[in-house]
Formats: sequence, C-alpha cells, structure tokens
Amino acid sequence: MSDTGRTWAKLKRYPALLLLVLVYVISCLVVVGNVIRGAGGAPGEEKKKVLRFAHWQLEPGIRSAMDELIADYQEVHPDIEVRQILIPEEGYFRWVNTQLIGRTAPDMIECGSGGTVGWALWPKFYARYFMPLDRYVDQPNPYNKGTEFEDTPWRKTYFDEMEGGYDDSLQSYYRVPLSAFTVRLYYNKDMIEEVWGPSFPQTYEGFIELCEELERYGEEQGKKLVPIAGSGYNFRQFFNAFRTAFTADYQDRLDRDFDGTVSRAESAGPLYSGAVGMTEPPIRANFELVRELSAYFPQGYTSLDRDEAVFLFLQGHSAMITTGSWDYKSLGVQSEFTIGVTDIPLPSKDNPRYGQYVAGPQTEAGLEGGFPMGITKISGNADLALDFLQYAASLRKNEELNRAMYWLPVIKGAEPREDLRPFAPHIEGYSPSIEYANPGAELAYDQTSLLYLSGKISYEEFAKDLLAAYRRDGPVGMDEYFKNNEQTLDQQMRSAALRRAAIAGAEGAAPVLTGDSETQYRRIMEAYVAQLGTRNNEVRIWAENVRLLERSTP
Amino acid sequence: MRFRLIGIVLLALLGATLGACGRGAERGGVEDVLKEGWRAYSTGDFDFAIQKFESVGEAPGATPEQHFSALLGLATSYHLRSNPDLEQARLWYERLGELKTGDAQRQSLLGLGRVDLAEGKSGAGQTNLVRLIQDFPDSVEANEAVVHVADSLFKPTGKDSEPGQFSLAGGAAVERGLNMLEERLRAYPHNTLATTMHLMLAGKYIELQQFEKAVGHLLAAEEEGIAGVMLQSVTLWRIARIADLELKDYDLAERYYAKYAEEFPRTTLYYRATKSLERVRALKKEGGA
Amino acid sequence: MMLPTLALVALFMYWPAVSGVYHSFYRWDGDELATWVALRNYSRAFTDPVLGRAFIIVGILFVASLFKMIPSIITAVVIHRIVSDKMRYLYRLLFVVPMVIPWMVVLLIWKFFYNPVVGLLNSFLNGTGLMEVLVAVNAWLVKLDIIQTVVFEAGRNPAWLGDADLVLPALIFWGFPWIGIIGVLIYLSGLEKIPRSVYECAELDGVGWFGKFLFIELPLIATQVRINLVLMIIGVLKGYGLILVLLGESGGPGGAAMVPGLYMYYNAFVRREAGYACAIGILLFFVILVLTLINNKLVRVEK
Repeated sequence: MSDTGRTWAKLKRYPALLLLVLVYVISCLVVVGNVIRGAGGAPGEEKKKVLRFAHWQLEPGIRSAMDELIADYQEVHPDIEVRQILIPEEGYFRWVNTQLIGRTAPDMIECGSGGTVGWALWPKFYARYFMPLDRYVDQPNPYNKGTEFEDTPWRKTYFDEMEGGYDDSLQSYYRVPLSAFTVRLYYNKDMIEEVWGPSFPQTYEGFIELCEELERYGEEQGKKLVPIAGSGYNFRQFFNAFRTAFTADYQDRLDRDFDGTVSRAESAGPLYSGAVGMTEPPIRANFELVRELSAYFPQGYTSLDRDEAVFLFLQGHSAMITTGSWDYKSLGVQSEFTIGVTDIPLPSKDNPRYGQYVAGPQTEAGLEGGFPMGITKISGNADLALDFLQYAASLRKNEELNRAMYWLPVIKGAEPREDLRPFAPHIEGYSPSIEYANPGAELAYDQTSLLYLSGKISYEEFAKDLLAAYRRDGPVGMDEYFKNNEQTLDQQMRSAALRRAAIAGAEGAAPVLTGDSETQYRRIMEAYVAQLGTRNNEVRIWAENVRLLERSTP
Repeated sequence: MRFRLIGIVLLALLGATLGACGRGAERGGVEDVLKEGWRAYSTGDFDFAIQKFESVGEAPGATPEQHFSALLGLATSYHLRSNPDLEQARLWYERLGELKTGDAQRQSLLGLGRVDLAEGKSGAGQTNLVRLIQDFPDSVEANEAVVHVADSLFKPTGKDSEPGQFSLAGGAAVERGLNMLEERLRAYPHNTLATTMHLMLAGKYIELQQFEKAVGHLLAAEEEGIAGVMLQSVTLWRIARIADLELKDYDLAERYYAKYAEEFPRTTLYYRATKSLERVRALKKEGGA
Repeated sequence: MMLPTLALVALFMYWPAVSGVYHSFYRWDGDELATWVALRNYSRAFTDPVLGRAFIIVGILFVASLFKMIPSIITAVVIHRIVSDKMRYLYRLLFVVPMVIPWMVVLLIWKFFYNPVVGLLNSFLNGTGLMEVLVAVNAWLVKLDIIQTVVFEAGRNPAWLGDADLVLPALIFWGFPWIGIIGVLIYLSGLEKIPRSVYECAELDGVGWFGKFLFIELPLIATQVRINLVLMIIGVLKGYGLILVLLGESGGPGGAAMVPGLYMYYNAFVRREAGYACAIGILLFFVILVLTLINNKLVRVEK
C-alpha cells in the first residue's frame, strides 16, 4: 500500500474527525470567500451593481409579476441587476432576524411578518437596521414624471398618504408599501342566489335573516351547512369591524392628549378603575352582537384555524367567509362556484337593539398594507434601493405590478383589476377607540372572551372576570408597558446623538447618514418630545385611575 | 510526516480566515475606522463600535478632530447602548471635556448632565445642564439641555417595589420646567429646537388642562415649522380638537378641521375631521342664530 | 475525541440552561435589555394564579398519561408472546411503519378528526347513535345536579377543541389507542431478554397468562418502565407543542389547556417577558426533578 493509501486507511478509522475537518475546511473557504467578495452579495455579471430584495410571497403570480417589474426596471437601468430572494413565510422572520444580526441582509426586505413575536420586534428592527425615509417622502417621485403626480410629494400619491409606511412608535417612515389589502365578506353567489335572491343584504338585520334561511336550507337538503365559516383567525375581522362601529365615540372621552388615537394606556386606565365599565351599553352591545352572530359560525369555531374555515367554505359546508383581498385569487381558483364579495354589513340606525350605538364603518386608511419594503442600513446601495422602490411605487408601475399580482395598488388613480374593485379601500370611516386587551390582561381577555362568545358564560360573568383580571394583572402589565415604551425613547436619543455628532463635526459620523443632519435632528427631537408627552399623559391617566379605584374601594 | 503536513495546511487555513476577517480593521486608516465605528453605532452594534473607537485612541498620528470623534463615540456608545455602562460613559465624557474645543466641552457637559439624570442624580444633572446653557447659550447642545432639564422636572417616577404605582411630578418642579422652556423661547424664539420646545410645552399644558396655553404653543409650533409630516397632521388635529371640545372656539376649530381635511385627505382621521367640521359649522350657525 | 462532542453539548445544551438560570433573575426582553430584579420573577410565579392553574391542568394530563402507558405495555407483551417469529416480526413492522409519518401531519389529522362540522369523531358518534347516548347521559347528570354544564346537546355537534369543558378530554383522548411505538419497542427489548426457561418453569408451576404478566414480565421490564416513566414525566410536564398547534397560544377557550410549558412560551414570546419565562422554566425543572426522584424510588428494578 502506498503512503497515501496508508494515510487514508488511518484517517478512515476516525470518521467523526474526518467529518469535522471537512466541515471546518468548507467553513473557512466560505468565510474567506464572503469577506473577499464583500458584504451585500455576489457581484453581478459584467460588473453590474446588484440589488437584492427578500420577501415571503411564494405564490406563483407574485414572483412572476415581480420578475416583469424587475425586467422593466433593468431595461431602464442596464447597469443594475435586481434579484428576488424568496423565503417561505414560516421561516421568514427567523431568516430576517439572522440576516440582520449577521449583517448579511439584502438591500430591501419585506417587513411585518412573524406573528405575535414579530409584531413586537419589528419596531426594534426598524430603529436599528432600517433607513428612515422621512426625507424622501415629501419629495416628488421621479418616476411620476409626465403624470398628474409629477410635482406631488411621494407620500401624497398614496391612497392613504403613505400612512401604512409610518411607524407610530418611532414616528418615522420606514416602509414603502407596494400593495394594499382589505378584508371583505366572500360568499357563495350560487348558493345565496338560490336561497335568498340576487342581491346580498346590505344591513346586519338582512344578514341575520339570510343566515337563518341558509340554516333552513341546510336542514331541508340534509346537508351539513353552517352559514358563516368562522374560525379563531377570522372571527376577529368581524369583531374589529363591530368594535370600531360601536366604540368610535369613546374617542371624545378617552383621547386625553387629543392626538386622534386612544392609546392602550388611555383605554386601560379607565377600564381598570371602572370609570369605563364593560357593562356600558355600547361595549355590551359590541360583544352581544358578535355572540349573536357566532350562532351562525361552526360550533367551537374559536378552535378552528384559517385553513379549516377555508375548507368549509370551498367544500360548500359554509356559504360565507371573511378574509382578505390576498385570498381572492386562490379562492377563485379552488372554488367550484361563483364567489361574490361585499362589505361586512353593520346594523342600521333603525335597529332597535344596536342602531343607536353605531357610529359608522371602519376606515381602511393607514393599513400597514401588503408588500411593505424597508431599506436596510447595511445596504451598500441604499440610494439604488430607494430608486427601485420609487419605480415600483410610481403610478404606472404600481398599477401594472398589482394587476399582475391580483392585488390592490396603493397609488391614487392606479386601477385595480375589475374583479378586485369591491376590495378598494374605504377611507371614510372611524378607527377603534377602545382596546379591551389591556397590558397584562391580554391572556385573560383572550381566554375569557372566548368563553363568553362560545356561550359558556353570561355577559355579567364575563365582565366580572375581565374586571378582576384588569385589577389583578393591570399594575404589572402597565409597569412593563411603560418600561417597554422607554426603549423607543432610548432609540430616538441614539439617533439624535448621532445627528448631533455629525452637526458637531465628529469625523466619520456624517458619512454614515443620509439627508441634512440639522433637519433630521430637529425631526427626531420633535418626535422625541411628542413621545415624552404621550408617556407623561399616559402615566398621569393611569395614576389617576389607580387613585380613583383606591378611593372608591372601601 | 503527512499528518504534520495536514496540520500545517489546516493552521494556514485558519490564519487565512482570521486574516481575511481582520483585513477590514487595517484597511484605510483612522478615518475609515471612525466611519466603521459610527456605522456600527448606527446599527446598534455597540461592542464593535467601542472597539473601533478605542483603537483610534491608541492609533499614532490621529488628529485632534479624530480624537474628539473617538471620545464622543466611546462616551455615546457606553451611554446609550441597551444596557448602559454609565460609569464608563461618565469617564469618557470627562475625558472629552479635557479637550479644549467648544464642541468637546458642550458635548461633555450635555453627556455628563444626562448621565447624572440617568443615575437618578437629578440635582447634579440639572446643574451640569444649566452650566452648559449658561456657558454656551447659543449652542444646539444648550437647546437640547433645556429639553432634558424640563423632562427631568416633568417626569413621573415609578416604584420598583410596587409595580403600577407612580408619583407624578410636583407642581413646583413642573412650574420650573415650564418656565425654563418659556424663557428659552423668549430669548431664542427661532432656535434649532424651537418647535420641539413649543410641542413640549403644548403637551404639558394639555396634561395640566391649560388648554389656551396649549393651543398657543401648538400654533407657534405650526408657524415655526414642524419637520415630521405625521406630527404636522397631529398638531393640526390637536388644535382643532381642543378648540372644539375644550375652548369652544368654533372659528378656530372650523379653520383647523378644514385645514386638516385639505392637507391630509386620505388619512385615518380624515373622516372624523369632515364630520367634526360639519358639526362645528352647525354649532356656529346655531350660535349665530 | 470526545472534545468536539462535549463542546457542542456544552454550547447547545448546557449554555442555554445556564443562560436561563441567569436570566431568571433579570427583567429580560429576550434580546438585549436586562435589568437585575433578584427574586421578583420567582415571587411573581408563586403568586400567579394562571401558573397555579396550569400546574393543575398538567397534573390531570400527567395522571391520564400514566394510564395511557398501559396499552403500550400490553401491546409489547402480546407481540412478545406471539409464537411465530415471522408473525412477530410482521406485527412489529406494522407498528413501526407509521413512524415515518411526520408528527405534524398526525397532529393535523387529529385536528381534522376533532372538527365539529366535518370531523370523523362527530360523524362516527352521530352515525352510530352514540351521540344520543351522550346527550341523554349529559341531561341525566345535569338533572341529578352532578354536573351543571351541557356539552352534548341534541342537534348540535360538540366542539371538542372549542368547548372549555371538552378540551381536556379531547387532549387526553388524543393519540388513541395510545400505543406509543417507541415505548413498545423499548418494552419489547426488555421482554426479549427474559429467557424461555423462566416461562417454562412458570407453566410447570401452573401460572396462567395474567400471572406470567404480573409476576414475570412486569417486574423484569421495570427498568424499561422506569425509563419510559421518566421520559413521560419530562414530556408531559414540559410539553406544549401539541396544545400550541391545536389550540393556539392562549391555551384554548378559558385557558382550558394552558399548561406551564405553554405559559412559559406565552410569557417569553408574546408578552416578551423572557426573564419571567425563565423563572417558570426553572420551577418546572424542579418539579420534574422531584417527580423523577419519586419515580426512581417507587419503581424498583429487580436485578
């Protein structure tokens, strides 16, 4: 046996060691390769600049629509290559987290996934890793040249003034929404026409009658038929629509700092002390209506998930379902019946039980929207990334893109597909003015409200249990809430300090920033004191309600 | 012999890897190191930022301006990172203060004052910040110092042992804070942070339910110019709302609801603004009749 | 040679545990922010009614799981007693083959099984007339004031995962007929060590089939029973994946299935109070440790 053969024979006796060495060698080569190539991705062909953007929309229509947009953009900019990075939704948030921490993130990232965990973490990501866009939103979008928006500030070209791209906690724009999503009631048109007639009821009263007709129809046919395919996922869409309608007028009472929104603390304090009671008629009406409606959902619907509800609808076991415009195409493809779309009907003013409490529908302005893209600070091509997003959010291109994707455009005047017109966002409406899931009591609220809505307990028991939870869990919850909000203030101070360093001429500070430092510094400080004011107001409201409760408790 | 060779190759690979990773630190010189430090700071990688700034301190031939940047970077990183090291921050702010330039002095005083406040030494903190205001009255840092002093006087305090219990700032402290802001605006009505101060005063007056004064400052903020778009919309809304619900000044309310609806026609509050405008107009008509 | 393995074990198993103990004394958001709070998380855990109830719920599931171990033992014994080698192998194979189905798929199948509208369980109960029996029994128990709640009503399908009174029974019933393949294989490995001569002696002494089980097989697989008991204690007490998938992060209606593991998850990832979640985890560790020690004392291994 040769020397090499003997060496190999010896090494083969230690397979684990061999494997370790192999992995080590590969790792070293990958690390060296990455460092040599530099951060931000592989070089493009023929020395093109490469822009990468990541998203989780794996549906075939989305990918191909983006490919078309990219092809058009690359025609305009032959020196730029744009690449899509597709990550499945289940792992997307974790992938983003890793990429951002590891400083290997692409230039643009679709924001906003990750469920409950993500909801809390995205503001932190924005502050740390994403470029604020404030200085750009008031400039015209260069790609709207030749259109009616040629001189219009970019944000004003959006159907909602780009409110969907604004982060309230950081008081800055971080996202460029490329699509809008709205929620509607989908129905089996063929079945409804057979049972009810050609026109879908526009009021809650008519809607309930329809549900009863459908139940009778099911019994007559010997079918398993549930009027509405409710589930733990989509019943909240009904609930939120009614919550807004019934509680919009609480804003006058609860919005103590007059900023136009009722914060969680502004809502929590009065609910904690009882200054706002769960047995007040509009609030009670809100819950009672949803419980009444849930009689037409599947039994135990709160344990059903979205897919089960969709299954019931598509199999003809349910005549209606609420979901978003994002599902329109896939439901259309899978269903064997014609699908109709309408708004969730609210009680009319004449409704003897609920009419007096209904202020109006929910506004769809300010929705975070679909495909909100953020530009990472790590990107070496931030200006090009912005350019690409401006292209995608221009009047003509946004219309083309969304028509190809079967989604709703976000730019005013951009026409959606004809069959998506029922999904066009309604700006006119109210925002919710009360939040029942107070800090600390979210779990108790989730659990107790489901007991009430499933008919296990009476409203009085529900209100009593919830009030007990507010009082038991509220203090610790509010403490955590205020401490967590301090983090936003800290983040603003960090940004302010950097801008101040640039203004003071600290070498190396200015080149890492975009925009005029003095203007941005002012903007940050204004947002900072606005947050301070909110904090002080919220603490005052909470402290007052604590004292109120102490005084009223014998 | 062969195993020795394999071992040498593996070590060389390790060396190449470390060398490649370390290349960034030696590239370009002090200016690039500072840039990397501030970039790391901006993305929240404070440990790396501190490392970079510290290496400038040791670098031969760094200019005074570069030293200033490095010291400021160190102090700020220790001060403002997620788990602040206030002791280190104080040390570096003091070292910064030893540089004789105005920028360094101001940043040092501002930083020391804020570190004192963060440590709960409100007296010492306010003293440092007031000294900054007195020694450098025209500076950007003095403006910010006023804001921080006012905040320290307005801020409620929680009790760790009793979650959910808060002590609100006392009347005298609040009065002091308000006076400080008002005085600053009187002396420097168009300073860099004039709008900030107006908004801060407005917020406090709203909290104290002194709505006339609040609206006065909101109007002044609007006139001075608000940099943030959404804050502009909130300010217009606030003026309209307070005028409507608290001051019963329906002319002002009408003007500002209309202004809101015109300038922010597609936002969440637009519908409320139009409905409120209708209501206010009806009230005015009633009042007129 | 062991160094790389030890290093990896230290990094991926011991380090997270040490970090968990460390952070249990902090107010920690799971990311960077950590403030020392000494024993506050622990004092909060001891006075938290939700956690107390969670331990009661997991206690019920634990007791049920004790009974659910029996079918695996019986199955192993039955397979072991098959005379034909080929048939014994075939039965073992038939039990093992379903293992290739991913656990998540099984879970989703069971979720569908429990579906109130189209699920198999309700269809079976309605089709066989058992639903009427359940309705009648429910009504009778309510009439006698033994229970107050009506879960089985004529004309309405029970919501096995949507009714607070049915959630626990549904979770206990999950996995029926409770023949854990791993358990069966572990018991079989123990049973196969029993020499044939022992059985022959028993037969000579006139010991019947149940006597053989009670006096020969059960004592001689006590080691395997103990191993499975420890695994079961750990699995049941810290497990929550099943409940998270079936019922969501709030543990179902009324928190009927909120177990300590799920409550730990909720605090860590929903409330972002990871420090408190670590404290719950440490308490859970001690509970498991105590139960394991009790198990080791009570389940004696015959040498």
